Amino acid sequence: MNMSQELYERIERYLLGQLEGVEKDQFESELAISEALRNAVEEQKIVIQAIEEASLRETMQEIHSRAFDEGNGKEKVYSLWQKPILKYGIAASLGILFLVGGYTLSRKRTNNQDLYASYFRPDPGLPTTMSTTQDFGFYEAMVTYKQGNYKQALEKWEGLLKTKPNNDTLNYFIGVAHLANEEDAEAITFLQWATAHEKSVFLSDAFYYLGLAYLKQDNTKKAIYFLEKSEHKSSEKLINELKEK
Amino acid sequence: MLSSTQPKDDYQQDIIQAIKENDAKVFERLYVENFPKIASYIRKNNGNTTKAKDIFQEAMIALWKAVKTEKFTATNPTAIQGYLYTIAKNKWTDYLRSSTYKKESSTSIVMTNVSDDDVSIDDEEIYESQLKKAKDAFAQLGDDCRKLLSRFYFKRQSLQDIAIDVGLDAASVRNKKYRCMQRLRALAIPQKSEL
Repeated sequence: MNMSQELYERIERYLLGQLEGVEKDQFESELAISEALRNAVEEQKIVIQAIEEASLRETMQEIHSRAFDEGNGKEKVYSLWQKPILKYGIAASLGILFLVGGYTLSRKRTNNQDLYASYFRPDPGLPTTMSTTQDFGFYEAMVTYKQGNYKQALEKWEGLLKTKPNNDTLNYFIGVAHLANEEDAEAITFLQWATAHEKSVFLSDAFYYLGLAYLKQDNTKKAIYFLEKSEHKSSEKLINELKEK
Repeated sequence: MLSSTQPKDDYQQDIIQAIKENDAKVFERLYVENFPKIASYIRKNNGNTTKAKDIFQEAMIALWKAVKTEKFTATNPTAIQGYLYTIAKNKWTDYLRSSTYKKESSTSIVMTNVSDDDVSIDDEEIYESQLKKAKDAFAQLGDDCRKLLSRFYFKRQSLQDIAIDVGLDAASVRNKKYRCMQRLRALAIPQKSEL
C-alpha cells in the first residue's frame, strides 16, 4: 500500500503534465510494462479527482450562500421588477445597514474629507435571487459592482435605467456606485431620485449616502440635513462629529 | 446569453479553459448567472429552491467533468448556458420520475446513474464507485489535510504559496502533502499493489 514519496511525486508530475523529454519517455515505457504502475496512476487520478470534486462542491456552497442566502441562512428573494420592495426587504436592508456601519472613531476629526473617508463604505450590494430574465442584467452588474468595478456596473445599470427611470433600487445603486467611483455630483443626482421613494427599503440608506456625498463636497450643512433623515447606524455618530467641529 | 453583451466564441473558450483550471471566479460567475434561471424552471415544475440548488450543483459538476474530459466543446456562443440548462432539466425530470420523489418522504435528493454522456454505464459505474470511495475518504481526512490538498489540487496553488500562507517552509508542505495523500489513499483504495 505504501508508495514512496519519490514515486508519488513522479506520478503526480506525469498527471500534471510536468514530465518532459527523456523523463516522460522513460515513465511511459515503464507504464507499458507495469500493471502495478498503471494501477497506481489510475488510483492517483481518481483520488485527485475526488479532491477536486469535493473542493468544487464546497466552493459552490460558499458561492451559493454568498450570492443567494445572505442573512440568517434564509433565502431572501428580491424581485426588482415586479412590485415595490416593501416589508420583506427591510430585514435584509437592516443587514446591509449593519454591515455598512459600525466604524468607530477615537479622536476628533476636523477635516470633512477625512471624515468622509472614515465613514464611506460602499453598500455591500444585494443578495439576489431573481425569477425573471429581465433581472439578469441587473444582477450581472451587481456582481461587477461587488467586485469593485463600479464603472462597468454603472454602464449596465444606466442602460437599464432608460426603461425604468424611476426605479428606486436602480437609482440607489447607481448613486452609491458613482460615489464609490468618486463622482459625488452624479451620486447626488441619483440618490436624490432614490430618496423620492418614500416607501423604498433603500430610503434610509439613500439619505445616508446622500449626506456623505455632500460631506465629500464639503457642504457640512446639507450633509447634516440629509444624515438626520437617515436611520443608518453610523449617521448619528457622524452628525455628532460634524457638529462638534 | 443573459445580458445585452453577446459573448463571442472565444469568450466561451476562455471560460472552458478557466473551468479546466478550476478558476474560482469563473465558477462564481457561472453560478450566479445560471442558477436563477434553473431555479425558476424547477420551482415552476413542482420543485423548490433547495432542490433547485442540489440539481443545479449536480449540473455544474457534470459540466466541469465534461470539460475536464474534453467531452464538452462549445459549439455556439451560448453552449455553456444551454448545457447547464439541459442537464439540470434532465436531472430534474429523472428526479420527478424516481421512486424517491414518488415516495416523497425525504428532502434530500439521491441521484444515481444519471448519464450525461455516452460512456458505457459499466465503466462509468466502476469509476463512479471508486470516485465515491475516494470522496468519502476525503471527507474523513483532518481539516489540515483537506485544506492542503484542496489548495494544491483544486486551487492549483504552488507549494511555495501554500507555505507562505500556512507559515511553513515549502519542503515541509511537500512532505505533509505526501503524508496526507498516503492517508487518503489508504482510506480510499482497497489494499492492492505494493510499489
